[in-house]
Amino acid sequence: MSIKEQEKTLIENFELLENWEEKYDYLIELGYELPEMSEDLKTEQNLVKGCQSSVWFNIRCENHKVFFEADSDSLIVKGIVAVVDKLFNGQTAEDLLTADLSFFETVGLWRHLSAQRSNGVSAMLAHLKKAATDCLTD
Amino acid sequence: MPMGVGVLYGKERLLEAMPPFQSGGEMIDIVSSEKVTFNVLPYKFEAGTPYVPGPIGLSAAIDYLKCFDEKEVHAHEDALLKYGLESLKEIPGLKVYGNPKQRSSILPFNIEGVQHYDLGILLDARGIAVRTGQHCTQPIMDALGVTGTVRASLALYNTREDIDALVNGIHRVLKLLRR
Repeated sequence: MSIKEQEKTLIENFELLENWEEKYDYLIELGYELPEMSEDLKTEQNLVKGCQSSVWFNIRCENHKVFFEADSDSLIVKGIVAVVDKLFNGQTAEDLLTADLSFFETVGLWRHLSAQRSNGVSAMLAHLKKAATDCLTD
Repeated sequence: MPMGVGVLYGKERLLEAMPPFQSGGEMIDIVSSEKVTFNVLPYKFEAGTPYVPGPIGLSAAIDYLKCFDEKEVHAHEDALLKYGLESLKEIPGLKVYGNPKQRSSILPFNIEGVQHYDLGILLDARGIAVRTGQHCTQPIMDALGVTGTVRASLALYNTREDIDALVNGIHRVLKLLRR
């Protein structure tokens, strides 16, 4: 599925949920469905540290496509990681770099990303975009 | 609502002896190619546009506090803290940090198997405001062996109903987080 198609499905799912409690419940559920990250990959090098929670992120590039495994110690951040996984994992570096991130605002997740240092989500996205840039020229 | 404000109290002769730490409007007296003299205290240390809303807010806050009897406020806050401490301790797996002789205003805690940020975000969604994370005290977090804590802050305007809402909120949130 393309980034746009994934985005459409996710927006539809989020819109079905009536209140924030249900939205967070869904987000946590998505986190539980995220493929497990091997403990060996949770290294200092793969750690994107925030003052409220941490994210581990292992990225590799194959044929100009970006693949990654990720995890977080926070269930909510892990849910956001799962959304990022659905949207971007296995997509071409070019599609990833030109992707419109307004999706996060549409579903109200933006405040988790805008608090720059708090949970490592925005650092994680920056990390992903940088890897995609390297992947373009790989 | 203005942001926070701080007050610097210093001995006049020391403040006289100290050079300005910042340059800008109002802090200078005479400037020429040869020399510069600085304005008198406190202007020497007040370069640029002053932070006007802060002190006005502080003054309003003092006026508000003066409406109450200080002893009554302390008694209310102490009773509330005691009730909060007892109520929180009844939640299985909850640990309150610190055991001072005189506790004041805050109740920092964690719940076994629950990440502090998750608890804070989900309480926030229910209209309950707590702070989470390291609270700008990383060495204390290291000493406690935790990555952060949840912290409920109580003041004179809080009630026992607020504590009950916090405890009920925690029970509800735990159902979402533990599955």
